[in-house]
Amino acid sequence: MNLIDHYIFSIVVFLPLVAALFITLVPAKDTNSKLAISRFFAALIFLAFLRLFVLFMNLEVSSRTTLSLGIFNFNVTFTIFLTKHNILLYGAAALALLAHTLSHVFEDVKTNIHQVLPFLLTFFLYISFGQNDLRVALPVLSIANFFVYFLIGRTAKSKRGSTIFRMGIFLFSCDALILVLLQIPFSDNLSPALSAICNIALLIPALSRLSVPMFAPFVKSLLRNVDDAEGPLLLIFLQFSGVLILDIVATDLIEISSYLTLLISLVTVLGAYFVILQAITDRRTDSLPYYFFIFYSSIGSSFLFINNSETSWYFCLSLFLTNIACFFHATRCAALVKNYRMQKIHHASSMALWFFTLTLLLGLPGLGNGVTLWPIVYRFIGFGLIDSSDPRAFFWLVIGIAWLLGLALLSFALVLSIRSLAPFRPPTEFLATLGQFPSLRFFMVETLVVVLLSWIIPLATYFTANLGG
Amino acid sequence: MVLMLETIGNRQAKNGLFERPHIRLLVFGTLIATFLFLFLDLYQSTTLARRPFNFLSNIASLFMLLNTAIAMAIETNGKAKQQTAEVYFLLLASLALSIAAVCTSFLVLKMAATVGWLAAMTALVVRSTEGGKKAEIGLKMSFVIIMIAVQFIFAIFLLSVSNYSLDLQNLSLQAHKNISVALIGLMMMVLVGLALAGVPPFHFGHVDCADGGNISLAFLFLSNSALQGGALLVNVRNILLKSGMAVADEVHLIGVMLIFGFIVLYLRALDQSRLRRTAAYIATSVGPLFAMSMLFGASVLLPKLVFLLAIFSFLTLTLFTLYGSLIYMDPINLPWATWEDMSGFGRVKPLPTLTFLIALASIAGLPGTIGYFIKLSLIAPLNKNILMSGSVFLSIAIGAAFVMRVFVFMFSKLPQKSLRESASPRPHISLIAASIILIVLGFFPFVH
Repeated sequence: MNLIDHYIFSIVVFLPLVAALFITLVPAKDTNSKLAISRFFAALIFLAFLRLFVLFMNLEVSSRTTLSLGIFNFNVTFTIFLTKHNILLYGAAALALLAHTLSHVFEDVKTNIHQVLPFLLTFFLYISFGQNDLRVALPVLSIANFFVYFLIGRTAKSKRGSTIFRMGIFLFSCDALILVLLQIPFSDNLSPALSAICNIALLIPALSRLSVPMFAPFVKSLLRNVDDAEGPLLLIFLQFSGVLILDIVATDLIEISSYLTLLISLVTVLGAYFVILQAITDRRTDSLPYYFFIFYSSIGSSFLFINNSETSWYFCLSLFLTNIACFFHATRCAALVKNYRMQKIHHASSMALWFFTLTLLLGLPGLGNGVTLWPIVYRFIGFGLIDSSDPRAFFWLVIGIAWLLGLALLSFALVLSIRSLAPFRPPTEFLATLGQFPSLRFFMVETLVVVLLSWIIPLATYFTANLGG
Repeated sequence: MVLMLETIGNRQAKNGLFERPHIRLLVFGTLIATFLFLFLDLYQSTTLARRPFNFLSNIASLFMLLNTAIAMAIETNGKAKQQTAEVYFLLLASLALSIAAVCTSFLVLKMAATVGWLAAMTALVVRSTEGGKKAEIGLKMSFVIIMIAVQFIFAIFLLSVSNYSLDLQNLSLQAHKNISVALIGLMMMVLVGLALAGVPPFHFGHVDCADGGNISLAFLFLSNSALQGGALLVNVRNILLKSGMAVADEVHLIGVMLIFGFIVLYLRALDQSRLRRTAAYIATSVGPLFAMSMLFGASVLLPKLVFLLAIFSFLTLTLFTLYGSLIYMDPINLPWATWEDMSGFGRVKPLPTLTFLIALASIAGLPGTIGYFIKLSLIAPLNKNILMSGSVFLSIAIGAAFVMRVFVFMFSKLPQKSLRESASPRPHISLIAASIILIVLGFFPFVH
């Protein structure tokens, strides 16, 4: 055990790559074996993470792992760091991978892409999570975007090509811009306006990956052209990479001024309202989780800049991770409801499941996203009420209320989408057709797991935040 | 001599390289022996690590040999028709001339070798081109050869009348002599360097050669011309450095001309509908990028020698991966094949398409490839030149557009029936290894 503990961090990081190799070696047509191997490895990665987390909590794991290669007198050193900021990201990515492999049924027997890419994406995420320099992390994340484009390109959606084109150009250009800016040594006496522009430019790659609407012009097209099965995974990958970049930029690279904070808050609120309008006009059941996902991402991004403190980061991280868990579950339930609707069947139990899932998204206090949402909203409003002498205080109050109003409007969009659900059928007829779909009981259990997660995530974040060292 | 006699005696014999063992022995023996001599010479030098730019001609010669060997390997590996002894004579002759052009510091000899090399390569390219394109290439390249010869003659004349040495090693601008005339002479040499590196708008002959000739010749022509052009520009930069004018506007002017040509090539690539033509534009852009890196590139983290080798490796690896992939993409070799014809090719032949895409991404300088670090290495030394930094970013953005266009055509569209039925061998392991290196080296930030 000691030997495994010694290398546990490297094991966690490199296991996804090993899994990808094993899955590739299985013959392409043997999809069941591929599925079994991927589930096995996903479970193994998660267990390895749990061990890593326990060791980390007991301060028994090294904070840096170095791999070096020496050729003649030339040494190449590759270092990955484990910190309080990234440990939970590792866990969340492992859990997302496990959930994806458990829920995913491989349909495409011709290619290896669908089976291997989730593991490769996780591997690239793990490599970049361990970096504290954006000049190392961003190129890795940038090239990993190609995997996302491969998956989008494999869907049967009619506008997948234009989605890839727009998204690719935007993300690559943003990444290149930030990396070019990091090479230019700016003088300290830059004008505030120029400094703010540079800071905003540095934030664009993060905010665009977090799908904050004003910074991600491709989002609408992306939502409509991702596959039901793989869409959530792609969005989650983008979310993780966005959170990482946001952390590095906000911690190390920019000085968060009041102008920047106000600007980010304003832009994210406006973007969120744009999403709400989209949700009200769209009304498709399967799109709804995506709109909620973007809405909560926008709140998280905005809150991170409210004050540059560690506490803000952990609040945001909780919201981001809870949002991911709820979103993943909601997209799967939405796909189920969509299936029922196509078959023109609906029943009280399935409707109850869907309503319960929606409550996770709605942000009800103590449930799903609500567990982490309300502390954030209180802080927004608190900033406005506590220091009334500060002229910005009133602004925070308005922003806090704007977020609540936005949530109410998004709930209205949700009600509109429910009105068009399929007609109610008698139980006998419903049960007769039920065999074609995944078990409702399984989904019920999954819902409970997500509810539990929505409590575990803030607790884990709290413990990690208060860890010494 | 053997090749020359073979060429004269058996001009009509169409036997391939591997059917004539003595020619094969001669060709590869010559290449390996020269490579070893050069390598040992470099390895034994004590100042190589400290002053690698003093050994630029030797390093360039090594890579020229390597490029020639790769070109021959691509030829025999692919499905192209078997070449005759005449081709190998021309290949070795052009190699000797290109090495002579890079190694000599005497301007007259440099001119003779450069013009001779261009003539030999033009002969090879015209010989391998089919149809009416022959005349176009011949005409354009004749113009380039004449232009380069005239510019060289002008440079020699101007330096001579202003009493400067024609040996580039001893040439240094001095206040008591006529500096302005000598500067015009040096500017002529810069124009020769730019023309050799294939920088538009001075000419588009390189693009036509890369488009029309067979794949191995396109690779050889572009890689060795970039090496010669880059080496000549470095010579001029060194002369300015010796004369105390290294940071003068002249050096930045060269940079502006290079980056302008680089962006023009990308913009032209975006509006092309034919495949080979698009690939030719993109491949030609490696020349200006290589020259820029040689002139301005710097790395804080890498030793000078390793950085220089990285630049040379970038040139060889990207062009090899690009043209090596094309070998396995049969429809792309048809001159009339368009992007629409290639729709969904990546779904049918994922591996060669992927290596092709990696080469394009590397040339475009997308983050996560070695090309990106090569481009980034230009920014820190030129931090005060916003135009250059902006242009580098612009080139990456246009490059991203281009790569995504190819990606969408190749991977997101459904393949046509004719493509599904086409069969081609799996890519060679060296091609896959080269593309992996292009990606893996992109993860090590050797620029500060």
